Amino acid sequence: MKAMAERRPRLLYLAFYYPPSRASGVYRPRATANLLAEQGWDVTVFAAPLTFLRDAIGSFDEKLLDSVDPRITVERPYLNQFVWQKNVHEFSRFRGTFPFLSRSVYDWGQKHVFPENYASWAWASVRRALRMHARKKFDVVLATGNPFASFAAAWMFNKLTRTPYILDNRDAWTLDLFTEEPAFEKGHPAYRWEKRVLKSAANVVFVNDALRSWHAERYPRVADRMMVVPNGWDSDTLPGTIEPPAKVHDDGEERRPRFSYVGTLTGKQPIEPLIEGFDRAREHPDMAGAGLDLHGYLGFFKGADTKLLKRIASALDPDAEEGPDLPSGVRYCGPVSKTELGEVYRNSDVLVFLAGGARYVTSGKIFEYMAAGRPIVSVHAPGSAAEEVLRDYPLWFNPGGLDPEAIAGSMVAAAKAAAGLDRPQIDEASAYAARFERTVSLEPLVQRLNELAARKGAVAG
Amino acid sequence: MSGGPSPRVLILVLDPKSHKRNYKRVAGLTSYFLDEEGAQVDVLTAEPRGWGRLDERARLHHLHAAEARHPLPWLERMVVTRLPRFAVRPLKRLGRPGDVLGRVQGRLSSAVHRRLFLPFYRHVRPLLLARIARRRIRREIDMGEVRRIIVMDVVSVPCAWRLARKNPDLTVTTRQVRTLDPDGG
Repeated sequence: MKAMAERRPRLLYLAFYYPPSRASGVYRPRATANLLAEQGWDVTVFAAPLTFLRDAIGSFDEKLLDSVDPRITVERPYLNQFVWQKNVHEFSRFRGTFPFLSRSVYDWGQKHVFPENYASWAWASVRRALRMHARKKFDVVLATGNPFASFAAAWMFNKLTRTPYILDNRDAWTLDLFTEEPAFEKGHPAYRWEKRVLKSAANVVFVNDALRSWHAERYPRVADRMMVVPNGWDSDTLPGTIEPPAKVHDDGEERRPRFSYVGTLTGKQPIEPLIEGFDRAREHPDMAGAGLDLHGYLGFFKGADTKLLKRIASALDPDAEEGPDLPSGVRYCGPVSKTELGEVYRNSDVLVFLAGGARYVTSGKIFEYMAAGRPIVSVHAPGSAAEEVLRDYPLWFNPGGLDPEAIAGSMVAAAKAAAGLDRPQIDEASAYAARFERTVSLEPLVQRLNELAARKGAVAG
Repeated sequence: MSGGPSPRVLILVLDPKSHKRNYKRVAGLTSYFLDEEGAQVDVLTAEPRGWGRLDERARLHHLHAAEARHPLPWLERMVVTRLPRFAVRPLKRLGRPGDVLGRVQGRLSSAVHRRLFLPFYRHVRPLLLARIARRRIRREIDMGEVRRIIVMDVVSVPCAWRLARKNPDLTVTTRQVRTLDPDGG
């Protein structure tokens, strides 16, 4: 009995976006799996096939693989890449001979079986999970969406093996986070599936309370099993102590103060208000040499970079001829590797928090920003879920919306604060951010996973 | 510049009406490859109209006449439309009843054509055009010079797929990117 009680708990983690993917949703599964492996769990992650990440969507960062705990087993079940295949050499004989019929068959599956292009990955995951389960039983399944096919896989695996599962909604399935409207028309099969998978889940996790409330209202019977596990910052990407920025008014040609945006820039973000606000801020006497550095990828998928660069370039004058030059003071610095992240924050005087959407979008980046101990200027719609966590951050400058004049005012105020920033202020900011360190924020989820595993006689640690 | 023949790009757009911007896209791609890459461009289509904006330097290969001559659509027209029309024509002399019969025959023929033949032909047409295209390509296009095949619509897929199998090193893609680089899609 004792040997049984001390058995290592075994987790099946259905995380389609997992390193080396560089999608925004990668960091939470990466940190969760690492933390659980650290705590003695036997973790198996089911992730997207590499061919999909590399060739189909071009969203790939090999360096991220180094941050995965080697004790974690990563499996990559098959995915039918029908909608992503562009190379005709890769088409099957059936598709190459009867393109309309193969499309009809594919669409039928979307309409009548599972309404997502990742459905085949879910089927393959269930098949592979059953094979692995037969050899050595899983104690718990943790599924993270999107894609939400992982939820369906967890549900089906539960129906076949009675293994409890937790659903982690990094995103929302049936709610469009940006328009705040239902994501599908009435009667869409996604609603049926969501109801089904939520009903049998041991717990359903959300990244903020606004999302939890929205789902609790729609699914009151599941409300008592819903919990909030906010995102956090990862201590392995940031140095333990952050130095104050070098004096803002130093000599030389260096651009001061330096505003930085760090993260993947997407079309959903309010780029134009940011550029316009920054341009107006530069009219202030202390801001003449100010620079705005954009660090990170342009878009999550290949082909998005040109469009976004054009959008930044023409932000001040939408009618102007599109040129390659960015507005004065704005610089695109390219992607930042994890090892360079600390350096970028250290060399920034003020961080610009640019986020699309409003009350349902927290954005994981904000936690890292706070941990960097720099003044933060918000550039997002009023009422963003991020405001909840920023409210008590001592160096937050909130223009209250997307009015460029107000953004400029906040930028000037933040630059002034940055000029006088000292060690106690940074320590105060860092102390506040410490409560959002990933291991701290994941604690309720880990605790719940431990409880579920203990029911099966497995104990971590 | 190498001394060899200039590269050739083959654009397969057998059914340009499948997307409203297909004509514009083909014209844009053609101009780019002609002007920026110095390539020769061949456009293969089964639609005779709508090519006014295409650069004159591109070679346009029409397949519509060969398609119309093909026994399958010809036979369907004969059995579904012409023969019934021929059969009811003498009855026109009966006056009003003859006219009604003629209209009924027209509607029936049209219904059979739309509801039975077209759904079937939708799946067969790409294969039929692929066959016609294969003969045309063999006769008129030196595949040794072709560097890239761009597939603009679903009807062109069987033709493209067969060319891809015959030329495993050739870039055959549905991505409409403006490059001759094999890694560009």
